[in-house]
Amino acid sequence: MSNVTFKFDGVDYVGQAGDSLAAALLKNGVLHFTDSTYRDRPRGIMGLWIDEPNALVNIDSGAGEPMVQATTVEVVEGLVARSLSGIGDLPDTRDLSRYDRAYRYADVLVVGAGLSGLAAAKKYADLGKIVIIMDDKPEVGGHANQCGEIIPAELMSVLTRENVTHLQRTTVIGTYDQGYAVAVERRTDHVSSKVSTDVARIRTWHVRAEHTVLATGAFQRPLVFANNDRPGIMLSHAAATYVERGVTKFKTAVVVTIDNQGYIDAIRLHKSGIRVLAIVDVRKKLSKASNKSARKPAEKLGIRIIKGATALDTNGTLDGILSSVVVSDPKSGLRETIATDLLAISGGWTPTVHLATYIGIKPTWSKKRAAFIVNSKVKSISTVGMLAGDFEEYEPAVFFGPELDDTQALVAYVDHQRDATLRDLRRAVGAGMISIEHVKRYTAIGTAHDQGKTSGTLTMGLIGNLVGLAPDEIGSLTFRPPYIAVPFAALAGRERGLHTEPIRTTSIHPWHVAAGAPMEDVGQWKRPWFFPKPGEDMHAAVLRECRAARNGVAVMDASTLGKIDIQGKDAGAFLDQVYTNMFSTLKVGMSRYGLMCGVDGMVFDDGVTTRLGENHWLMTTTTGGAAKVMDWLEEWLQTEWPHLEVFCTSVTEQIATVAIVGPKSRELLALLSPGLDVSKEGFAFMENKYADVAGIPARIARISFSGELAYEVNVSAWYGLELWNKVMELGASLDVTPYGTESLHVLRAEKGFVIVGQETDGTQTPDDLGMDWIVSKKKDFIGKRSFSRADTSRPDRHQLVGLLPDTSEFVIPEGSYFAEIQHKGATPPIPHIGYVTSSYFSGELNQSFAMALVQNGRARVGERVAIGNETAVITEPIFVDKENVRRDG
Amino acid sequence: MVKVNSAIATSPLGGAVHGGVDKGIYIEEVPYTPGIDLRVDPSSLAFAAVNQALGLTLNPQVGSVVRKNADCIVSHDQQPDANGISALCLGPDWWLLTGTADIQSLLKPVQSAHHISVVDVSAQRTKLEIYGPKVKEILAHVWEQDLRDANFPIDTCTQGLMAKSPVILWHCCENCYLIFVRSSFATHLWEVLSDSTVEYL
Repeated sequence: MSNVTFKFDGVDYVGQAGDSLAAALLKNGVLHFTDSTYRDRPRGIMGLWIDEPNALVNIDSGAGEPMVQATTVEVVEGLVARSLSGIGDLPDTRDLSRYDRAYRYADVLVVGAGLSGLAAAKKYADLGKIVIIMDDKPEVGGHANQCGEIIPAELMSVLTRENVTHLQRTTVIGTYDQGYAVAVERRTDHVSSKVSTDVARIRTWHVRAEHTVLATGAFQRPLVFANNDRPGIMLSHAAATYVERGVTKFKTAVVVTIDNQGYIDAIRLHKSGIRVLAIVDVRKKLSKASNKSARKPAEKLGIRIIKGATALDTNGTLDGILSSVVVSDPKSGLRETIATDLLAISGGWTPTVHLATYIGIKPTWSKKRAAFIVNSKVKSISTVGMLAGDFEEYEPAVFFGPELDDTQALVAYVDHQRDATLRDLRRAVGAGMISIEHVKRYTAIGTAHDQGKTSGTLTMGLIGNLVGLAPDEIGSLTFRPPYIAVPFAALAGRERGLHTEPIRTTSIHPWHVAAGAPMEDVGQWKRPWFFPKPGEDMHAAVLRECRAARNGVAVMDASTLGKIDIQGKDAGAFLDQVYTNMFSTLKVGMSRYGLMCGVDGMVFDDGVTTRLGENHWLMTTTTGGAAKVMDWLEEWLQTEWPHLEVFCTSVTEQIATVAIVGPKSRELLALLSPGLDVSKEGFAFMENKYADVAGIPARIARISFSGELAYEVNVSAWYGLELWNKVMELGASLDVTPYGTESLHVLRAEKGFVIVGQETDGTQTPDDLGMDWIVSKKKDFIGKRSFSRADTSRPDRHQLVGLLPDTSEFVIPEGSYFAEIQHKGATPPIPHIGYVTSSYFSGELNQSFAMALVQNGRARVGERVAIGNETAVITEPIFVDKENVRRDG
Repeated sequence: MVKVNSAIATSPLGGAVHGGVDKGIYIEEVPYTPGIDLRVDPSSLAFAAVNQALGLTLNPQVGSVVRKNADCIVSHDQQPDANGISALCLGPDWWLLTGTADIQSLLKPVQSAHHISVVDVSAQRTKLEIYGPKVKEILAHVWEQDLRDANFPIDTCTQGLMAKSPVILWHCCENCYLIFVRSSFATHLWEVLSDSTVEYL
C-alpha cells in the first residue's frame, strides 16, 4: 500500500491508500475526534462504516462534501478534511465535477456482496441470468471481510462473469415497486482528491430487475450504560478490524458482549497483540455449541471471562478519553473497575432492513437473535444472509444495557449524534409516549445523519424495558429512502445549469442570438425579448420597436405559437364544442379568433384557428399552452366524443411563422411576394392566401395582434431562417425593425388584447375579461353550463379594466394590489379592490398604462385608485385605436 | 414527396456529427428526413385502402415498424431505394411514415374517400442516427426504457422523453438507432447526448 499525505483539522498526516479516513487517523493516534453537537462531549470513532454516529467530517478538497462519515471516506493524496460538531457547510464555489445517470435492466439485482450476496449472484449467474451485484463498501466481502475471513475464490470469480455486472462503492439508496431500485456509485473520490471533470464523480443508477436479492447484512449494536460515549469505546468488530489493519494506539482491551461475536473479536484483538483483560458476558450460561465455538477458544488463550456481568460505567482521563470501565453484576454483587484504553462492545446485530421496509416488507422480531429480521414472502424479492437472521449461532441475550439510576442515565447515550440519552427516553415514556414514532420525534433519536442505524433497535428495546413490553410490541422499524445522504448533483446528473430544463428554440433563433437579443423564458422556449441597438437600454429599444410597428413596419418570430392540424368531417362541430364561439360556419380560407374554457367555465386558452379546407383546420394555441391544448382535444375525442371523425396532429415545430406588422407591412409583403394581391380589397382581414414569399411556398394570413395592418407568413420550418433573412434584406429599404416579446406585450396591451396566463390565472370567465361578445348564446360548448352558476355572475367579480397612472412615467409593478383612493399612502393592512396583471410604458400614449382585475371593475371606470402613494384612474381596457381603423393600414 | 430545397433550408443542428465510426460511437444529424403523420382507424374500411395505396400492410401493434424497399442504410453504405417506405406505429391509430416514396401523393386518393389524416411533419422533427458497438450503453444514460434486444428488437420503435425531450426511438439495425426529436428540442438533446459519450470516446 502506498503512502499518501492528507490534512485533517489543519494538520498534515501520512496515511495508507485504501484506508478510511477513520482508520488513517486512528493509525496516527487520533482518538478524540470531535465534540458532540449539544453537550460538547469528547467523541471518538465508534464504528467501521455508515453506522458511525460520531465521526462526521467536512471534505474541503475536490468537489467538497458536507457532513460525511470519516469511516466512509478513503484517504487519497491531497485530501483535506475537518471534523464537525454536527453541522457542516457547503463550499461557496460551484462544483465543477461531472455527474451522470444510467438506466439498467437486469434479471436479478443483488444488493450486497458479502458471502450470502455473492452466493446468490453465483446461483443466478449459473442459471444464465443477467445479474447486477452492487455493494456499498470499498471492498467485497461484507461481514466476512470485516472479520478478516478470506472470501472463497469460487465466489469471487462470479464478479467477473460475462453475465454479471459488478458495481462496488455503489449504494442502493431506494427500492420501489416493480423491481425498481436507485443506486449511487462513487467513482472518483477514492482515486483522487481533485475535481473530476472528465469522469462522472457519482453515477446514479436506475435499475429495474425481475428479481431482487437483498443481502444487506447487519450493523453491530452498542450497549447503553453510563459514559458509553468516550473515545476509546468502539463496536467490537470495528475495534478488531482497525487493530488487525494496523491501528497500534491501543495496548489493552475489555470486551463487553451479549453474544458470541464478542468472543470472536476478543480473539482477533488478542491475536493482533492487544492484551485482552476480560470478556464481560452478560450471559451466565452458554449452549454447548457456543461454549465450544466461543468461550473455550477464548479461555484457551488465557483470556479472563466474567460471566453474568456487563459494563455499568466508564472513567476517563482529563481529556475525557477512556481510562477504565466499571463492570458489575448486581445479582452477585460484583463491581470491579478495570483500567483499559479500549472498550469493545458487542451488543448484538441489527440487520439492515431499510431496503426491505421501503417496499413495505415488515421486519419481524426474533428473540433468538435479539433482532428484527426480514424473511421476504414477496415472490420477486429474496432476503438472505444476516438480513434474514443468518446469525443465530451467535446466541445473543436480549439485553440493551444495565439498570441505571437517573444520574447515570443522563450520560448513557442512545443516539450519540443527537446527544440523546436513556434519561430522554425515560422522560418520553414518563410523558405517556410508547410509540416509537412519538418517542423519535420527542427525543430526536434516529433523526441524525445515520438515521438511527445504531440506535433504532436499542430505542425499541429500551422503551420495551421501561414499559414491560417486547421490542416488537413497541413498533416496527420503518425507513424511507434515501438510505444515505446523496448530493443533489448526483440525482440531477446532467440536468444541471443550462441543461436543467430543455431550452426550446425556433428555426430563426440563431439570428436572434447573432443580433444580441436578450432572451425571455416562455415556458421552455427562449424568445427574443427585445433587440437593442448599440447604446440602447430596454426602455429605448421597446419604444423604438413599438414606434416601428405603429408607424412603419416591424417583424417578429411567432414560430413558438402552438399549432394543431385538425382533419375530419366533424372537425367543425368539434371546434364548436371546444371554443365558446362558432367555427363551423367559417368559410374556407378564413381565420377566426377563438376562446376556450375549461369545464368550470374559466378561460383555458385562446388562439386563431383557420379553415384550410372543407374538412381541414389549423388551430393555433398560446406558446405555453400547446401541449395542454393537444391533450385536452385528445381527451375529449377519446373519452367523450369517439364517434366524431376528427384527427388532431401537433405541427408546432413544422411551421415557422414571421409576423409582419405595421402600416408599411403591405408594402413589405408586396416586395416579398410580387405576384400576390395585397390590396385592401384583394386580401381581407382574417383571410389566408397561398403564395411564394421570398421564393418559399407560404401560407399568408392577415391577422393582427397589435391592431395594426399585419400579416403572418407561415412556411416550413426548414425555411424559417431563410424567410427571416429575406424579410430583413428586402425590408431594409422600409427600415424594417425586428421586435421581441416585450414590444409584443406592449402593442397588444395598448389594444386591450389579453394574454391567457397573464391576465388570467384559471379563475376568470370570458365575461370577467369583458369578452362576453365571444361567448355564443346559441350553441353548447365546454364550460357553458358553469355560466349559469350564481358565482360566475356575482357583481363583485374581478373584471378587467385599464389603469392610467397619474404620474405618467410611473410604471406600476405587475402584480401590485391597489385600494380605493381614500387609502392613498395608508399603512397596510387596507382592503384592496384589485391587482395589476400587465403594466408598461406606452410611447404611443406617452404615458404608462396597465391592465388590472378589479372587483366590479367595469362599474368603477372613472374612479381613482391608490397604489401606495401613487394614484391612477380606472379606464376601459383599451388605449389605442378604439375604433379599429388601423388594421386596414 | 417532401423535397427539400437544400440551398435555402436550415436544420436545427446543421448536420452535426459527433464521435467516429472507429471510436465505437457515431452520432449524426441527418436533416430533412421526410415524415408523414398518418392517422387511420385500423378497424375502418380506410385501413385497407391505405394499405393498398402504400403497397404494404401497416401493423397496428404499437411500436411495430414495417418497411418496404427500405433497408437501414446507416451501416451498409448503400443508396436508398426510390420507393422506400417505413411505417412506425406510434399509437393504435397513428403512424409515422418516412422514406423516399411520395407518400402524400399515394395517400391523396384515399384521403378524399375516407376519414384519414395525412400531415406533413418533416420539419416537426429532425433525425439523429446513433450507432456503434457502445450505442446501448450510451443511450442508457439518457433513455429510461429497456434497450435489451429481447425487449426492444430491431425494427421496433417507441416514444418517450430523452433528456426531457420528446423523441421517437427506432431500433433500426444492429447497434444502430434512429432518434426523431422535436426540432425545438434538438439542440438541448444533442448537447446532453453528445456529452453522454464523454467516457466512451
